This record gives sequence, structure tokens and C-alpha cells, in this order.
Amino acid sequence: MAELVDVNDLEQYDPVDRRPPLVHGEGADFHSITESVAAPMEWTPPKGWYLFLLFSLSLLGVLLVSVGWLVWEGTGVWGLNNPVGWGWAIVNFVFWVGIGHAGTLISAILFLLRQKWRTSINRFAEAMTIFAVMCALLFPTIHVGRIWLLYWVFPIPNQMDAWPNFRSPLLWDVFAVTIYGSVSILFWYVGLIPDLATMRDRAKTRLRQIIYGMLSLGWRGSARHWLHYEKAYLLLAGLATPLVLSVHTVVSFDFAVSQLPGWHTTIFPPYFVAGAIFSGFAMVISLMVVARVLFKLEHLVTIRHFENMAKVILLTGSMVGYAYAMEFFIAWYSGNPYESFAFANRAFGDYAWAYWIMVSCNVLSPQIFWFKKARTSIPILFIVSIFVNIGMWFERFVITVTSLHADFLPSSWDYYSPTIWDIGAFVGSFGLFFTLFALFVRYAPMVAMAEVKTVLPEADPHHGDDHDPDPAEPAAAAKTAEEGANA
Amino acid sequence: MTMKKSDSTPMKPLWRSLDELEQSARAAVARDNEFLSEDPTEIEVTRVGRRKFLGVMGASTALAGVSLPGCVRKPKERILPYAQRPEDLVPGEPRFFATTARIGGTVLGLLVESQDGRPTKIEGNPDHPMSLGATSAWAQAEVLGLYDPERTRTPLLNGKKSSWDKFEGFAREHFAGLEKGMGQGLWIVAREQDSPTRDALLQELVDRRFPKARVVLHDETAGQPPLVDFGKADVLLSVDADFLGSEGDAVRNARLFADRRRVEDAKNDTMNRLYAVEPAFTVTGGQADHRLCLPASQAGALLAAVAGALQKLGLDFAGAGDLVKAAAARAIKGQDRWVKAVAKDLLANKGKCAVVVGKRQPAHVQTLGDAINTALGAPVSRPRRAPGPFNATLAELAGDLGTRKVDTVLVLGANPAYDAPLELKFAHNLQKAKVVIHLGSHADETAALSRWHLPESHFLECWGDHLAADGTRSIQQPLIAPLFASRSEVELLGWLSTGKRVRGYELVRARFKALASADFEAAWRKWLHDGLVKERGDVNLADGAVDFGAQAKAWSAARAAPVPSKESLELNLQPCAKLLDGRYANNGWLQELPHPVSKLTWDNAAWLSPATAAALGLKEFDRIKLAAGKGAVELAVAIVPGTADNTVTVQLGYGRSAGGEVLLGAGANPANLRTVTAPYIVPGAKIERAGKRRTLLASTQDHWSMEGRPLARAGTLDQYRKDPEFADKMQEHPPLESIWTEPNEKGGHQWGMSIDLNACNGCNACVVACQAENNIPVVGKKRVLEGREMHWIRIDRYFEGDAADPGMVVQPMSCHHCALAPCESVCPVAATVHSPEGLNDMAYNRCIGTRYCANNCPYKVRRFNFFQFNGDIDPVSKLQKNPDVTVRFRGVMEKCTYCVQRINGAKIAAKRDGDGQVRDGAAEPACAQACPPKAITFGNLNDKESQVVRRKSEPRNYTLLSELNNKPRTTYLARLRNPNPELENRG
Repeated sequence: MAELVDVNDLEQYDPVDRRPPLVHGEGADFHSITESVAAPMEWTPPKGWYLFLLFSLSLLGVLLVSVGWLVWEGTGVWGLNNPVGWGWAIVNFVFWVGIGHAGTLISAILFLLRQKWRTSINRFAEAMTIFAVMCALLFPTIHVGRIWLLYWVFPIPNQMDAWPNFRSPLLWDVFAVTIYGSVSILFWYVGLIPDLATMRDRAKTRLRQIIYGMLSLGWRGSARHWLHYEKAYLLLAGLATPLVLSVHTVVSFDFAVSQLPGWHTTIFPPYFVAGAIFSGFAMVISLMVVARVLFKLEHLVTIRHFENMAKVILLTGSMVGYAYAMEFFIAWYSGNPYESFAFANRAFGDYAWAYWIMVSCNVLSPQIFWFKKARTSIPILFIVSIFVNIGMWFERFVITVTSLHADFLPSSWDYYSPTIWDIGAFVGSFGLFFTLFALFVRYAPMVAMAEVKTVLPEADPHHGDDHDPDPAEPAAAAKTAEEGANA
Repeated sequence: MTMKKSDSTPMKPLWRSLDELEQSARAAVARDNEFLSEDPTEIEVTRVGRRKFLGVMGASTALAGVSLPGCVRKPKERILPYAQRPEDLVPGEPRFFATTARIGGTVLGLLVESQDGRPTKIEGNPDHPMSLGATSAWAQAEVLGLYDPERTRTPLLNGKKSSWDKFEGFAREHFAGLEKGMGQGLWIVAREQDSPTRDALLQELVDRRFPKARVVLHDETAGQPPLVDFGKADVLLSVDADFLGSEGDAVRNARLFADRRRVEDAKNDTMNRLYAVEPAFTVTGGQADHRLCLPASQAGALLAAVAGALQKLGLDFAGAGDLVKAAAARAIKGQDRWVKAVAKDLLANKGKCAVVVGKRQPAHVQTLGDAINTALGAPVSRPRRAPGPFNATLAELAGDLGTRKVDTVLVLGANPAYDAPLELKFAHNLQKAKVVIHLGSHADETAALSRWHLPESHFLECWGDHLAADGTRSIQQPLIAPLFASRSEVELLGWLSTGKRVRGYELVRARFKALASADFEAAWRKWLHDGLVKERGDVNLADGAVDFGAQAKAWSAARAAPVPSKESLELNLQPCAKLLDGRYANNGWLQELPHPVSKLTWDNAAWLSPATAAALGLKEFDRIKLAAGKGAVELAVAIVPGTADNTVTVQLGYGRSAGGEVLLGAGANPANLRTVTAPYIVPGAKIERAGKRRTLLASTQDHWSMEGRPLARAGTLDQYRKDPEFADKMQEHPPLESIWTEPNEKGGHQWGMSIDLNACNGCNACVVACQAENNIPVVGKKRVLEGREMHWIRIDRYFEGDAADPGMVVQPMSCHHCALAPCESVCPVAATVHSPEGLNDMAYNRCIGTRYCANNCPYKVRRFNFFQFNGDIDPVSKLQKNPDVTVRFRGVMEKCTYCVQRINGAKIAAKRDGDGQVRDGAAEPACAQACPPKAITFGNLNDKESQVVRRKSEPRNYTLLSELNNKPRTTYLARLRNPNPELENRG
């Protein structure tokens, strides 16, 4: 594959906007895109898919058993204790919410900023967002002591006139995450409609026709449809953009609004958002590296996409690193002994091992992306993305647990360690995530066909015009333009 | 079956008069002699867990489906209402009765709360000179002991169920046989009861039937320590004496001692000064102004040095001159500065000072203390009483058992098979007796070796009387008819003596007939009502003559104790501040109570100083084999600062093997290390590792240091005089502003609490009182290890200063009821909210258990129900629960409520009886009520005359973590030390 574009070779550049083409490969035309994206849904799935589904389902089983036992026996099956009221469950919640950031960010913010390179990966990232938010929502649900009464957090009118407490950051969280989840699903679904219509049109079985038919909401691809669609998509992108920033800001309030040393810091909102984007992009890379090979999408998801994502990781990773440093500086500068202790305790206390895992993974490992070689090397990208995921999980662990385990009164200090049920719920949440993903790649177009087509040279209205003839393949260009209109 | 069921409720729940109560007790006794199978009190202990229950339910539902619907017969049971309700009885309103008991070596006057006929809570009787309205942790826990489902329910013959009738049949014949031989071969082992009736009945039994019987007094708490009037003592020297904790009249001592340390007026008030010499921290040592950490064997030598120094300073010892001379020859070396300073201070306060010698010290050291006190004119009396019928020792009994000279051993409540020194081989020898009869509440180690084990009534179930150390008599009146087929000690003695069943009521009443001057009935009613008897009768409390000469010889004869070394440690056995001598081992509240010093629960351990542990290469929790004499025991190491180097301190009372399920697995029994001659201080102990194993000890506090934070604040008296508000200044903070508006806190009652750290000694009475009042569950060792203990109030204990010679500070910690409560703002469902009276209320029903409130609580006083801790409660244990307090469900948060149920009770009473204003002291939380030194004060902040306002306006007042601007309603009074300037620069 010709992944590296020679900047001097203007011939290879998109003739209109003078940028390197976003889609590579022989015969990357409208038809071939439809074919290659639709293929996984129409093939008999390879054995690998079944193995992956089986693996995911067994992890999902671990989740069901872990949650079942938790509900049956009580929160005590986890390793929580008196000073440490929040443990892995909350760590996992923040971890998954963070991962759920990249999708909508790629879709909405990059869409508004007209970053066309997003088109190949946005669908995938959005799906990841939704599944991650589902995993995230699982944890606050199961972590409460009386799960069966969780609906009390919603402002449901009732005979006792008992309302939730609007001062509580947990309540803000309920609103922030549920709104983010629903807008993300809506955004994802609206983006899917034209592609679902394509699938409907290609469907060969009755069942597929009915299901894709219903899901595509009568899309015919008329100009009026496209007009409304584009408006709706733009509006949703506008709506989703502030949510990307707000949801993790509100999640950070869970900590920042408290008065616990180590939690009570104003740097949390930007720091959490940066961390969320950081971890979200890392997760997209981890998954994309695998999926593009499995489903032969190398020409759509190119190394340039990866390079761009690596740059985002480098930027946000450095922001996170800055936040770590700034926390320490403020802890010292404030002269607050509790604050100073909390941070000294992070780096040198009982949980120092977790802190240094976090720093090595989050701050040190992405620095390799200063080098283009690393940004464009699939193995390095994959390894660093895994490191970042590990590091970001530990970041939340460090924040949650080290602050709680030793706070104001030394008499209460205690050590927290997870039980197998903590671990089971976390590992099991990957089961939920992967199962949903396995179903997604099988039953929904994982690349936004309609959108990718818009970045092909052929999509340009002036493509193939006489005054700018393509000396190489005029016939082919004309052919693809024709097909694109028909597809 | 039908009618019987209805009249035989498990207990007579209410009574109008004491006669009626007595009737019911008699009825119960009569019933017990009938057919045991119909004994209603015989509630089977079925421990059906939830899962098993569900399984059984599932199976029975399935069966119900296949069986014919008409086959199920409903049991015919009738319930009867009060056709004629007893006058002035309001269902649901608790009533209080005065009674008394001997608990932890002191006679306490008690007021017991009765909820619809069930005693649920024990308080101190304010009129009684030994309780002064307070209680110890043990007294608080007694109510759990009453409802212990593992108490013996019927007489047991060789471990099998039997009945009192059968026992009487056997005993009548057996004792008739013994009587022929004048009681030759009969041995009686009894506890110290301080009960004139019991002692007289025992004497009567011996005199009347068995003149040749031998009677042994076997009790860890026996032996009356000197009675010090701490209110009059300005300078105190405590020599290995835990007079505020586990020795003597600790409840009274704590109050008088603390009263002498209250310094309200910074300029003019004075406070006492305590010098303490001890081998390991006790609550007493923790209160000391100067503490000298010495092996217990050296404490006597130190006292000898003080006596010598006093003599040198010109104190006239009169008749004890020889004693002091003999003692001075054994004086400790190398402590001259300390000794001289103490002696000077004692002499300067002649007549206002006292020396308190611990009862673990040998007699000659005690006598030296007496001699010093006499010479100094100390406000100390050593009450002497009629010696009672005791005429033998346990060692003699063991000897006779060994040579098979013993026919019958009658054990009255004691448990020598557990706690006798190893060399007596008591448990082994006891089996050589022909008949062993054991009266006791539980089927303990001694019961297991007895032919007959007879259930003994709890003191709340039977009549008795007590004579306090100062000569105050009090009557033990029962609050409830015996729950099981049990009898009291006096009833058994009465029966043995006369062959007739005499009610305890008659036996006790008879003893008091002589005391009434005129109308006995009126006097008796008054005594019962007041809980004490003003008439002193024939009690002789004159000081006995001390034979100083003999003790001088003992001093000369005493070999200088070997200085302990790493190779030959000194073992120091302490009666446990929780389980005492093991008698409370089956009490879950006390097992789970953190030890005042080590904060350990559910275990004893080998306490080592940090230096000794390092020298021996041992770490916390290392499993060791501790050998002394011929015995050895496996224990875990606990590193406790303030333990003398090269000594190892072990708490007694653990390692029980029979008598319930609660006690199983709790610690190891160090009785094997004791000898008859060295019951507490054993030289030549050795430690070796027992494999590479460690035993985790469940401690509720892992961190010793305050990390330099101004938490439990303390200063010296001089500092206080110069700057009375020193404590408040220890925390600097910017001007405090809040984004929240403070709730309206103007009108009506506004509740607040003040805790005086100068008074609190960490005795734990409040912790157990809170547990009893608020239905706080026991979670067990595993859960404590996991950090899930549920106590609403805890005592934080910090060590400060030099690790080799630390000071100990304690700080009670419970919900602070912050006006700007951080817990309230973060709860998503508003389950914790502020009341108009300034209480931080917790609505259990509303709580969904996010635990955010606990995370955001800077004092970490909220407790979460991680499991269903109140799931499978035994029906008998259920009777203890306070009906005014919700029993919390799994998954909800709970915490101190300032005993809101009591506040509301007081408000209702105030509304009913007056203008609705609760008068000061009418609403008192359980912790404040139980507190022996009255460190906790609670009241209405709007009542400017109230005690709590007075305390809070003292200059020592400070708010913990005030910089957080939570505006807590609980504040502290800083602790003060009154060091001797001559010793102060020591550091």
C-alpha cells in the first residue's frame, strides 16, 4: 500500500483542495466503497467473527454472574470499606465515559471543523462511544446499595413530593450522561440512515428488507431528503459538540465539588475532558487497527487517519501531563497541608505503584508520537494505544482511591484492594462492549459509506470537467461518477 | 396446646408492682418444674440462614402445590388484649427501674430502661456513689449478655438436657451423703460478688450443713483496691495501676479524677497532676502528665525509690520506717531525676496527694504504697470487710483433686478450667472429682467437665444485693422474669442450705429487715425506688491494721527482679479492657469493641515495643510462639508504642474454647503462661517465630500518628494560662465564606455537643452505649478486617512525641452535625438533610446507598450497611433491640443521630408537661449519658444557661477542621497537661 504520500508529488494530491487523498487503493470509487463496506454484513461471517463473539459472550457471562452476585449479596462483595466508599465501579464508570468521548468528538466537532478525514472512522468511533456509554452507565447503576430504588434519582413526580437533590453532582451526572448517551445514539442513527437505505436496497432476504427498511425510515435519497438530512446532521453535530465537553466536565464535578483533598480541584473539568479525548482516541486506534485488517478496510481507514489520531493523542496526553504537574504545583503552592499530603501520598504513598503506572503510560508513552515514524507505524500505534488505555484507567483509580484512602483524619486511613467481584464486573464490562461491537460490525455498516463517498475526488462537482482533464484515466473517472450517482 | 400457648408468652412483659413481677418469676419457676417440653422459654436456637430459608420455602411451596388445599390446618392461637390495663402504663413508653450489679470489679448502681417489659438499655444511677450516673463499657454490654441466645437454657446432665427437678432429686441425696461426713470432700469455688446476702448464705451453708467444706474465692476482679478520693488529690502517683480502666471503682474514679482536671477559669482554676509508672499503655497511663514506662517488675523498685526519697526529704513514716528502709535498699537505679521530682511534688502536696498501687503488684509493694499514703495523710482508705466464708485457695483445691481427696466440687459462676494457671493442671484434675456441679450462664470450659451444669440467671433476672467499696448497700431488683429455666446463685445456695425452694426475693428481703428503722415496707419500697440504701447497718469499713513489719521482711526477702532482656523477656498479663478475664468473651459488642490502646478487635496479641520488635526481627502480625515457665501459646505480634522494652504484654480473657460461638477463635489463652506465684508478671519469657505465618489482626485504626495535624489538640496548663484560646489558634485559615446559606438556626431548640478531651480517657463506655441504644450490628472479625465496622462513635487514639516514650491522646469521633454539612449537598436523593433544630438527619428509607456522603465527610463517621447485617437475628437477640430506633437494611448509610429518638422523647414530654422547652439535661444521647468522666456534654445551644453552652464558651473550645467551614455542632475542648516544670524539659 502506498501509505506515505510524497508531499512533492502534486500529482497525487486531490486536484481541488490540494490535499492528499483520503481514500487509497486501486479502484476506490463509489461502487467499490459500497461493496467493501457492505461485504461484512452480507458475507457468511468468517470463523474469526464467531470466535470473537463467543469470547465476548463468555466475558458477558462473567459480567452477569458478577452483577448477579452483587445484587444478591450486597455491595460488600466488593472490596470497599469505610474510608473508601468508591472503588473500581466508579473508576470503571469514568474510564468508560472517557472512552465514550472520541466518537462524538470525531463526528461532531471534526464535522463542524470540516475535517474531512473523519469520514472513514466516524461511524466506528460513534458506535464505540455508544457502547462505551452503555458500559459506563452500568457502573453507577450497580454500585448503589439499593439498586431497586435507583429510579429515585430521576425527577419523577410522586405522592411524597420527594424530589432529587439538585445540589448533588451525582444528579448532574445522571442528566449529563443520559443526555450524552441519547444524543450520541440519535446522532449515530441519523448518520446511519442513508447507509441503512443502501443496505435495504441491497438486501436479498425478506427479513433484511423489513428490518433495514424500517430502520431507514423511507429514505429515497432525493435532493429534499438530502437537504433535510444535512440540516439535521448539522444541528445534531452542533448539539453534540457542547455535550462532548460538558459530560466529562460534569463527571469531573463528582470529584471536584466534594471537599476531599485530591478531589477538590478546579483543574478537573479541562483535565478530565482532555483525558477523555485522550483515552477515547486510544481506544479508537486499538479497535480500528484490528477491524481494518479483519474487514479489509485498509484503503478507507488509512495511515493518515492513524497519524492524525496519534497527533491528538500526543496533544491531549501532554495536556494531561501538564495537569498532573499543575496539581502538584498547586498542592505545594496553596500551602494546604491536607492537599500537599494527598499528592505526596499519591506519588510516594501506599498506592505509588498505581501513580507511576499512570504517569508512565499517560505522559511518557505518547511522547514517542513526536516522531512521524512512530505515528505511522501500526505496531507502535497499537501498543501505545493500549498503554494509554491502561494509564487512563489507572488515572481514575489514582484519583478515586488514593484520595479516599487517606484523607483528613489519619485514624480513618485504610487500604483498599479489589475482590474478584470487582475484577469480574470490570472484565465483564469488556464482554458487554465487545459483544455489542461484534454485533455492530456484522449488522451495521461500520464505515459511513455516504460520507466517504463525498470525499472521493469523484464527488467534486468539477471532477472530470473538460478544463481539468484527468490525463490518466478519463474513462474510469466518468464511469465512477456515473456509478456514484446510481449507488 | 391452644390456651396454654396464649398465657405463656415468653416473658411477663409488664408489671404493675414488684409483687406482680415476683409472681411472674415464681410462675416461671413453677413452670420450669413441670414438663420441660412445654417450657415456653425454651426457644430453640435455629440458625436458618436466608439461603436455606429460601430453599425450604421453595420446597414447601412446591409441596403446597401438590398437597390438597384443605389439608393445611391453621394453628389455633389466641392472643389476648389487656382487658384491664395496668395503671399508668403507656405501651411504647419506656420505664426505668433502679438496680445494681457488680461489674468489672466495682458495684455499680444502675437505672435500666424497660421497653414494654424488656430491659433494653442500662444506665448509671446518678445517686449511686460508685456510678455517679455513668457506667463502664462492660455494664453497657450486659444487656446483650442477657439476651445471648447461647446462654444455657436448662440444666444439663453430662451435657444432655435435664431439668431442675432431676437435679434436685440427685442433689438432695448427694448432699445428704456429704452432710453425714460434715462436708468432708466438698469444695465450693465462688466468685467475688460483694453481696452480703450471697456471702451470708454461703457461710450459712457451710456452718449449717458442711462445716468441713472448703470454700475458694476465684475471681480476677476479687480484692478491693484502696478507695482514693480523687477529688481531694492534687498529685497522684500511679504504680502499675489502671484505676481509670480495668481496676477497682473505675467509673467513679474517672469522674472524680476528671472533675479535678476541669479548668474553666484559666486564671484561677487548678488541676491535679498524675505521674504514672506502667509497663504498657492503659487508659490511666494515657491520662498521665508524666508517664514512666518501666517493666512491671521494676515498678515496685521505683516506688521504693520514691519512698526512700520521701524519707530523705524528711517525711516521717512512723511505724513503717523499717519497711521503707528495707524497701529503699531495693530502690531502682537510674531514675533519680524522676524519683526526686515526684517525691518533692508529693511532699509539697502533703495531705492532698496519693499513691495508687496496682493490684497486679505483690503485697509488699501494695503495703509500701499504704505506708506512703499513711505518712502523707493521703485521702485514701483501704476498706476491709468481713472476710467471708473463704478458707482455701485454688491451688489447694487442685492439690486435693490431684490426690483424689475431693468428692464434690460446686463451682458458682467461676470458670477455673479456663483461667487457672497451667501448673495446677486444673482442667485435668477436675475430672478426678466424683461430682462437679457448675452454676453458670454458659456451658463454658468448666461446665464441659461438670456432671451437672445449671443455668444461672442474669442479674437483670434475679434478686440480689451488693455492698460497694465505700459501704453503700444497694438492692439488685430484676427487670424481667428469667428468660430460660435459670436460677440465681442465692436461690441455689438457699436451696442447698434449707432444702426448700426459697425465692431470691425472700432471701434478699430477709437480709434487709434489720436495716429498716421503722416501717420496713415503706423503707423497702424507697430502697428499690432509689436503687440504694442509705442505712449502713453493720458494715465495718474501718481500716485494718497493716503489718508493716512483716512486709518489711518481704521486701528484704524479695530478690531484685531480673532486668528483662531480649533473650529473657518479661511477660505482662493484663485483664483485658474488653473481655476482662474472659467472662465477656461471648459478648459480640465487647469482642468487636476496639481495645482502648491497641484498637484491636476480636483478638489478643503480643504487644511489643517498636524497639523490641525490631531487636527480635518481628513485624506486625507475625505469628510467634510465646513461652514462659512450662507453658507456651501462639499469638500474633502487635507493635504498640509505649510498651516497655523487652517486655511483652498480653491481654487475658481470650482463647476461650467453650461457652458459645461468638468466643470461638478469638485470640489465644495466656493463662497457660501464668503461675500461682506470678499470675501477672512472669519473668523469663521467650519468643520464637511460629513458622513463617502471619495472623491478621482486626484493628480499627491502622495509623498512629496525627501527621502533625491539629486534630486532638493539647497544651500545658501554663500555656493555657498565658493564652487561654491557644487551641483555636492552632489552625489558621482565611476568612470563611460559603456559597450555601446556612439553614435557619434561630428559634426553638438548637442541639449541640461539646467533648472535653481533658476529661476523656478513651474507656469506650460511649461506644458500647451507642451500640446498645441504636441497634448497631456486630459485623465480625472478617468484616472488621475489611474495614466495615459499624460503630457510630469511635475513639481515635493517636500516639505522639518520641516513639520510644510516646504520649497517648484520644478523641471521640461521631457525626459532627455540621450546619453546612458536606454530606447533605452531595446526596442525589436528599436522603440526608438538615432538621430545623440543626440535626443532620438521615432518612434510611430514602437512602439508595451511593456512599458519596461518606466520601465527602471529613470526619469519616458515616457507616454503610455493606451486607444485610441485621438479617438472621435470633429471636432472643431481637428482644434487645431498641424499638425507638430503626433496624437498618442492607445498602443504606447510617451514622450518629445525636440520639434523635431521645431528643424527640424529651420534646414530647416537654410539650406534654410544660411549655415545650426541653430543660437542660432532659435530652441526653447515650454516649453522653454513659460517659464516666462526663467528657461529653449535649444540649440546647439556644438555652444560654445550659451546660453545653457553658462548655462551648470555655476558651479551650475549638472546632475540628474549622477551615473547611462546615460549622459543625460538635466542638472539642482542648486537652491540658499539667507537667512538673522539673521534668518538663525532658520533652
